[in-house]
Amino acid sequence: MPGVSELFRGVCAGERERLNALFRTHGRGVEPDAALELLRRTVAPVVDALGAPAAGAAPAVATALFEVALRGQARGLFGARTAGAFETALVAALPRFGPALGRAPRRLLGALGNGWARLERELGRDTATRWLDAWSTVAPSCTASDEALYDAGLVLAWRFGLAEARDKALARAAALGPELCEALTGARELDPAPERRFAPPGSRARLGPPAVVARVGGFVGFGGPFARPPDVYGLGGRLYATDGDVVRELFADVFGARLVPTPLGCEALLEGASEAQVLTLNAAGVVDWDGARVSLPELRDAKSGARSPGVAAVALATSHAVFVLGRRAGGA
Amino acid sequence: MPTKSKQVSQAPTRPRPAAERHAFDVADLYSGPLGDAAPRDAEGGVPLDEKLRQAYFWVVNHAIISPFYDIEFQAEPPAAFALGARKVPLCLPTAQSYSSYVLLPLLNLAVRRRCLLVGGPGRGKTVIATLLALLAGYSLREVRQGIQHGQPQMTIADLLGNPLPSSLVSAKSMDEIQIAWRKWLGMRVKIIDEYNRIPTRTQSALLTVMGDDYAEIYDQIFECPPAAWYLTANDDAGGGTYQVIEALRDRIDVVVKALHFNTRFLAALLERIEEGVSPENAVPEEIVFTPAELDRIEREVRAVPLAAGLQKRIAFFASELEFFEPAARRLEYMTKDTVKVAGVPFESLGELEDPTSIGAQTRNGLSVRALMTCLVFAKALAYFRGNAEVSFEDVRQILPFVLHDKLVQHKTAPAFDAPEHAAYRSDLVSWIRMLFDRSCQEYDRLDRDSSDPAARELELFERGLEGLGERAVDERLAAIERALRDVEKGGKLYGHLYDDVLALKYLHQRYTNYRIWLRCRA
Repeated sequence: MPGVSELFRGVCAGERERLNALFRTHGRGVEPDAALELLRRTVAPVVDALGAPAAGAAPAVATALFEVALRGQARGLFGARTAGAFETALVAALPRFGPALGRAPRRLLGALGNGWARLERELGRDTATRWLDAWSTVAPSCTASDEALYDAGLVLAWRFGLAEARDKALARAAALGPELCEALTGARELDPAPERRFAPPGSRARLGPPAVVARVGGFVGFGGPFARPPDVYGLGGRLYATDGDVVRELFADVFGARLVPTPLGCEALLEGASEAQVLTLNAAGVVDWDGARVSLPELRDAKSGARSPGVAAVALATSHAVFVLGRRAGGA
Repeated sequence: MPTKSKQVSQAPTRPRPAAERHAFDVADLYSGPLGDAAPRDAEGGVPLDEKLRQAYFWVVNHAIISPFYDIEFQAEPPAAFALGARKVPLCLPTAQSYSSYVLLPLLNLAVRRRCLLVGGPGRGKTVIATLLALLAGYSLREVRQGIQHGQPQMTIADLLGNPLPSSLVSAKSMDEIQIAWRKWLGMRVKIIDEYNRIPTRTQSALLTVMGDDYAEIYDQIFECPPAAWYLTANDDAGGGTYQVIEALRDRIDVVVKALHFNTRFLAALLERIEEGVSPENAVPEEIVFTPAELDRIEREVRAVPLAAGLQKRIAFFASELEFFEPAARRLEYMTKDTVKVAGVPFESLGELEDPTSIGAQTRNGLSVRALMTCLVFAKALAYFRGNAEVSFEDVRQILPFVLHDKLVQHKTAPAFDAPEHAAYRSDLVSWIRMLFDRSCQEYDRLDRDSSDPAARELELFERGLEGLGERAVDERLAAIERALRDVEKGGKLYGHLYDDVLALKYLHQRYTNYRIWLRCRA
């Protein structure tokens, strides 16, 4: 294979049978030349970047990356002739994972690819790429265990807007220690109190009055989930929105707000909806929040409201969106 | 071999009605098109029953061509057909069903017992054993090194290891002899190929390893780790070059038969040849279990509850098999084991009063080991199916495979004379399932769930004797005697009544002793 380093040439020679077997197994539909290009374009730079100190891990890294690349091509994660967005970001970031990559390359590559694919789908390509880059930056600090590395990736995904990961991320961040927690979130310690979910990590400022902090949802024709203006309900301490067909669960905090598919059916939601979680608001948009009354004119003529600790949701008869209410730090 | 030979079925492999809540898990972030990359060792991480199912579906979809569903489950009444002149019943399962040839060895890996794979040469017995060792995390090279190939010249040293020549010369006592133990003894998956070709003396050494988890040479002991065993044999009857010693056969927990090759799937074989990839080289990393995961599965399987009502059905079934009234004059010895130990032909003692009873169809009952194995594998099947507790159908489906080599059929029993029952002589799986079904019918007919005096008395006794006065003891003794009178009035003695009578006698004795103690204290 011309144009590759001696190190990579040696790896290819040593792993020839394995690489060929991987191509036979996963490479249907991939031209042999394209597979060679994949090796040259993606696998070789990573192996070279690991360099001589990690030469022992190079064969395992190369075969794992080649397998993931072949499998990923069918899913559009890796390009056929030229590098895709994930591939480019991966080649740049992978060497920074250092020893963790050498210890379990297949697991790490799977996690990177799957995580990137999920974040791209949920939050967009730029966010997914920034997540991958940020993860690789903190990776050298995750020395306690391999699990710490994966926990760090999860905390970052939450920080980049994967709001449904909040509970797990708070728990994992606390276990990672103050230094790593600070590197991941900007604060050495996180306050798990639900009332402060819209305050930045580490902020001790007083909470401001309830305000509309986010709008989520939207009409199905414009990429949203709802065909009709939805209603919102509370059940089991959680918030849901439904248009009668589709049910979504609301997750929201300072890093983002998202409506996430849920296995809960519409019928079960309507049957089980909690009276105690109903948000009190009148036709003028005046919201009763823990005894305080706040006027929010944009919520005039609301048709349903629901709340759980630290967050509320409101639906209007005239909108396919769900309005998310919370208290930001310092009244911002 | 399909090109997607490393493709693992996506979770959930056994979809269920939607749960009410969904908690985000780290696995959600790292699972996707490139395979499951979620944490593996953490307690509460990947649900291991899901991983077991993924392993099962990978094996049946990509490794072993076994398009059979002989372990059937129904969610609703199935479409049923009666085929051929004999009106052979065919049901189309309405819930996820499985091939015993793949499922049972996989469950054996989970519970670390001993599985015998039976079938003619070239049926894939060694392949499936090898695949399971690969799923346990061994490399193909390690697995091949670890397989013990039975052959007529196999010695104990071949099987276990050799004393080091240098220590043989220098040792002043047996304790000082060092042994080079064979590597397979330390493996968590042990494969004995064609075990019925091993000479009898070597079989005895194998028995110690299989039964007691240790090997011994020259007074030196090698403690083997808990392991899943896979033995293969071409001959179901225990023949082969050497007769398999009974104790060794008895140690086998579950027997699985290789099913025939369905020629409709010849194209899959052809594809495999053309692809040039063998399943042993293509086991996906996602379904390989770490030792910690296998330990965790074993713990989780043991924790699956088995309801009291189901326990009673199993006990009822077992009691019907053991009882043999002609065996003795004394009640305690009226078992088939009495006849076997005495070496007396069964025929010389006559038959049970009811020749159509299920007890009349066997030459033995269930040992404690057999019953324990039934319970363990029933739990394993429930766990594999993701059930919170063992269901009746779990027990019904698993029993034939566990009891296959343990229940000895009375081949000349009148029950097999009817043409429609003759096939039970060779189809032991269907026979054992039929025995259990009949036992359950009888259980229901007798309404044992609500009408069971012995169970009531046992339950009272289980509450303890502390603070029980003499008068209460007298009442309980009277109740026991009344229950025994009722059995007496019934005339015939059946297996379940036999166990009831012995249990009542046991309770009577315990209460009697307690009453003596009360009187002495007074």
